[in-house]
Amino acid sequence: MLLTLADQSPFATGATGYSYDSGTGGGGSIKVVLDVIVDELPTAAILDTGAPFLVCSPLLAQALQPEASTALGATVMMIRGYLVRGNLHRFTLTMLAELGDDLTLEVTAFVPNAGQLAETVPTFLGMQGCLERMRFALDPMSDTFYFGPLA
Amino acid sequence: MSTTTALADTLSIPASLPDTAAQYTNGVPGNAAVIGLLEAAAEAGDNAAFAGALSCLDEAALTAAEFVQLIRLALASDRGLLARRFANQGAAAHPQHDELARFAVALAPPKYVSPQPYVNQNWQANRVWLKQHGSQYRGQWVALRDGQFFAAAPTPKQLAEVLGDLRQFFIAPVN
Repeated sequence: MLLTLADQSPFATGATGYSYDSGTGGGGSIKVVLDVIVDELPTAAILDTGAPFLVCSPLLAQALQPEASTALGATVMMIRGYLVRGNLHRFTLTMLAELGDDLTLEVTAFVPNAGQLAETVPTFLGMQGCLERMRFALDPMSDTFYFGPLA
Repeated sequence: MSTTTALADTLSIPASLPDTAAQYTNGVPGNAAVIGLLEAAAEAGDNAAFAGALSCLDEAALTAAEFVQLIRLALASDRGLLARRFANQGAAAHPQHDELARFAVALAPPKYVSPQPYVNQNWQANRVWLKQHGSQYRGQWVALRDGQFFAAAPTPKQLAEVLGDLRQFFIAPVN
């Protein structure tokens, strides 16, 4: 069942299960992992409301191979305490619904230059430019991620 | 004591800044000097000093190049909303400047778009596979489609070398 507001209008229009990532070897703090599609590429991404933008993993960057001409700005960003060189893009991000409707947004993405991040660094869904215009809620009881548009 | 040093002292920034007194007019710091202080504050991780220097900025007088410099400084110091504000202000103040226009587009809030066609996968099956078999591939990256395993490799690059076009697969690290 999807979530509704007090006036019975929908809070969430889609819901999907999520998994946990606890870092290599399972010793780290747990992170919520969602299945998403970034510019038609299915991938897993970590929910990180403390970060900005959709930060592409080296794998995603390699798979998408965005053309330099589509870059909207070369910059340096602070990621996990390191200054990382890369480019800003606008990509489509689709939240996949197992219940209800998928949700597709055009979001700000940071694509690190080759060799700037360790290959094991995953993709992150940050707040600014990515999740900021989406309602979302987590139910750890059923490992369900609810999402919906603001309007 | 130079004006630069006095301002730096006020803002609690180490007074090892270059003396940019030539950029001052009647004791008021020019934007180039203030940007220098902002850079120093960001590098020192001094948020109070950064806020203090920011309040000294004459935003109406910023050149396009200075807006770009400030956007980059904000992004590099984890101040995304400030970067967005400077991008919007800069693009409005310098509408012919291509780089500012592109930053304004890049940093705009997300927009809803019509869903795009994509490879229709059985996501639940992929997740079930990871739960049942993931431990065999701990520390590696796996490629799945509809709950079927295709390849595993220690690094994403090696996975791409094996599979070629990764758009057909669900790719995930296994921890």
